[in-house]
Amino acid sequence: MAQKKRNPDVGTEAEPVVTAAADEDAWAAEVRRIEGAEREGGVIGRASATERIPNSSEQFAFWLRPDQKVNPFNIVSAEHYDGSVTFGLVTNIKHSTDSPAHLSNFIANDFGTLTDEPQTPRQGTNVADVAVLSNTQDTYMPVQTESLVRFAGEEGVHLGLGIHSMKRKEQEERRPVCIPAGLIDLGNGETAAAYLDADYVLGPESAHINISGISGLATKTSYAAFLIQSILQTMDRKVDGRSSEVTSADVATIIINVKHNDLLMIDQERRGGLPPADLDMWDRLGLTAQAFGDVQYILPAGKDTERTGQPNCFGEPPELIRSSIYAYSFRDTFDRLDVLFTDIPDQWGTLDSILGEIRQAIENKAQDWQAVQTWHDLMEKSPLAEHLTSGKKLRGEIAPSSIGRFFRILRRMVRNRQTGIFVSQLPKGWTTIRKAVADIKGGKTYVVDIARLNDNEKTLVFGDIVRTIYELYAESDVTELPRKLIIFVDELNKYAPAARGEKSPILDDILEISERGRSLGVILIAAEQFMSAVHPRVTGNCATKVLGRTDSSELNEAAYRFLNQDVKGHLTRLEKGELLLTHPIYRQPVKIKFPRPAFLQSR
Amino acid sequence: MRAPSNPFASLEPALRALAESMDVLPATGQAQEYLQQFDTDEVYDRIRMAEDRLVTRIMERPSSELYVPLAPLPRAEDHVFRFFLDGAARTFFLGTLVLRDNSTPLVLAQVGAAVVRREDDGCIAKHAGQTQMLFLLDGSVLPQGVWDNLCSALNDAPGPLHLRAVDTSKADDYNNSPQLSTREPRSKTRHRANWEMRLLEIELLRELLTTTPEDAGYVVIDGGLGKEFRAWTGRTGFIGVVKNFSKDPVFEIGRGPRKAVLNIFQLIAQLPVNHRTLAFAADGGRAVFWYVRIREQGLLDYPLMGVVKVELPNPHEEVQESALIDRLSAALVAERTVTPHGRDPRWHAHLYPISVAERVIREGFFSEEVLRAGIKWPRLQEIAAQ
Repeated sequence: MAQKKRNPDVGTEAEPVVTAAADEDAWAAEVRRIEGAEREGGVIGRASATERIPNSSEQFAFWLRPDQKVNPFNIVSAEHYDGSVTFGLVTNIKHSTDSPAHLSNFIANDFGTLTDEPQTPRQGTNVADVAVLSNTQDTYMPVQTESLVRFAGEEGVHLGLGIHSMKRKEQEERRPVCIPAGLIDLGNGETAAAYLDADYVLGPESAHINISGISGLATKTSYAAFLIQSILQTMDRKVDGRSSEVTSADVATIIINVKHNDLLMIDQERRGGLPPADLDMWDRLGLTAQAFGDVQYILPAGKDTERTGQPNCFGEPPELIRSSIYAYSFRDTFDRLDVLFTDIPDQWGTLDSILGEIRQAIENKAQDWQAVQTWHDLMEKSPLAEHLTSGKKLRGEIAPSSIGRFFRILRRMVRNRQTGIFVSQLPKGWTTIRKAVADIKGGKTYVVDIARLNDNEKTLVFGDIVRTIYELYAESDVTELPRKLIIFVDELNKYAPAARGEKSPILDDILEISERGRSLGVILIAAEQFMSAVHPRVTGNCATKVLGRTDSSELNEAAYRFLNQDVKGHLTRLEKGELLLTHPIYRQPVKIKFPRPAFLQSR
Repeated sequence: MRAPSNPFASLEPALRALAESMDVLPATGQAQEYLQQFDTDEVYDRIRMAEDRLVTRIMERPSSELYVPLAPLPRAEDHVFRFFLDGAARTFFLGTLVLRDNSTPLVLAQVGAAVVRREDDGCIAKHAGQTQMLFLLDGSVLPQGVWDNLCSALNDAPGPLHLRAVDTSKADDYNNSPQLSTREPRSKTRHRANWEMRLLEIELLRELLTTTPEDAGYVVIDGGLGKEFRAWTGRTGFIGVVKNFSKDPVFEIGRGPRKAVLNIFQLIAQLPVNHRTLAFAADGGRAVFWYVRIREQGLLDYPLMGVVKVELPNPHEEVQESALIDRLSAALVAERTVTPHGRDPRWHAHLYPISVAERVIREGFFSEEVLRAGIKWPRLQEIAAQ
């Protein structure tokens, strides 16, 4: 694909921002240069502090020149003490006039009878509220009234957000740190690239990304796919001619496809290519618009798969050469049954005891369980089934009626209402999730399709993936694992809901990944419509949060307390393709847009 | 950018010059804003109309109706008024200077005048402006040496702030008039500040009239026209608009058996909205004046509200065309939108661009807080001990 102008700030060998030997003085000089550049921009207004609305270390206001337009989330710079510059994020714009009351306006218009234009329009001005991001000389005295205010340039935005420090780290440590995350509209027709700090996305400082919102068809998925591409391409970027210690060849990616066949063509280029505007954005971010490279699709078996060879997925399935079909036989599933039963109420722990009994018997190779090989065997011939017919309590504690309940639920899930993934024996050539995940290799992307599965089956598959990963990375002595593993899952609220109690097998596994993942090298990129619906310990561990349009009732939930009220108001009005990005390095969230993925999408 | 410093620091020598020569009774808590005690508009109009208490001469033709109907004339149709001139004064009582049996209040005044220009789209822009800071005191109380010391201390004061000492005992156009009822020293000082403001207005108006062409549009001046403009022979095209006018005139309309005598209450109370009165002569015909009701009586508290008095200079003492008076009046009626309602008790007769001009001036004044904090008498006890 033809490359256009690339972002000169990051990512090329030819134009490092500052030489690797840059010292404090050089960086200070760089900051002075940016301060000077900021002062050359067109003035859009002056800071304003009043008796009732003073400026503070955290915020300031400025009035705008007549006809000057700004928008919420534009980033501005204000002159400050000692030649320093304070950067701030516009959070709201208000129009005020010299009218003390609406009644005065009514009276001013000839007691409401006048429909013509006023002879003299009332004096009014637009005033923007600004949340302070940073000052170039760490001066957090309030911005003084009458200070000149301008749109920040791209370098200023980077300085204000802390991206400049990322670039510095990148140069000093000679490894890629800046992960392109989207473009910020600067308000003056220009854009600035937003970057994430790799240490806060992939560890060790923090990790994980949460994407929420009702922003539109496939927006969250598209953004996740863009971000994964961005991470992988960033890892392959050389800094000062040096490759990173961890490249994309050391990273495996597991993507869970939960809707239609959205992610079942990620290795295919979009037909007709991307629109020029999207290509420009990819280029602007220093990235190559391309489909995913080495992709393996892991597709669920359906009821007819054994006969037809066709997996149970939406649309045309991916080519067989890049696909494998997974299913669950009883012997492959006995230690994951707790995940399958995640959503079944078990107030007294009887189901948990029965599941423990089964697992223990199989793992210990108990003699009376040798004949239990299939789901049918479990329900008809197992020692459990005997308790049901004999009426004796299991271990003198669990009543036959509880065992009966267990069988009824199990029968419904694996026999009567199953989609086809539960099989008696795994046919030759088929795989299991556990095996597929255990075989992951760096440099490859694995797409696990669960779109057509029932909810309990989806939970089983995702739980199986998470547990297998955890076992691989935290508990096994396997040494040839990819150094980083990225998992993307949509509808995380189904697997780690906020409403679920503390005791839940799948929740425990997800919490382990979210809390220990950054040190293990396992990165969770999760999406859901409502962040409040996800367990707070999971979202809390996602250092980077991305928010699409969100309705106001949702924004009143505790999960959004980190946003100020003005920002929340604007979140309800975000357009499709617009997202709000929060990152530990940024003092305030920024609004970004991002290019559409380059791979083929069905919708 | 640097932190602000005390803008009044340079006044210390001037205050010291006074404190060293006279006893000072300082205002408690330093400078105190001295609020207006009387309605200056009405008082000054009464002074100007002192010779015209009986109004008999009609100064327009061909109209002879007492009340003339008008249709509001919006600027989109005919942009009559382009410039608006106003002045503002803010005074602060600093203390009383005592020398033997005599005393004088010392008042610091900020006075200013501004012209705002209205563009084709109705938006207002500042055209010109001037402000001054004054030390107002009765010079007759001070020994000449002290006065000289004060003046040289003010002249020599470093920094951007320049003050001028003004002797309130000196005569001006108004202060010896019997109509200016007040003889109270502080009120006289306040009047003097207004007069200095008036001088600034006059200066700005002269400059405006000499630098703009005849067709640049009418200038509206807040308040009546003094004698200096009634006799003005330069570019015409300005009027004075008085919000609160003298209630003294009595009008004798007509002759013979149909002659009617109306006091101003009778004249105004019956003036319907969107109407003007006949135009009359003042100052021997060198000014033409009439009244325009710009607001419906029923919507206001008092019949005399919502009416403005208009003065047109007439240096050649000519009878004016009714069409001109109609045009000016109709344009004034259109000025009723928008209003400074809620910000000014005189809103019903206030022209909004005039209030904007006033605001332009006042925004350039130091606030009371700054004055209170910034102006400090030198340590009086130390001076007394020396």
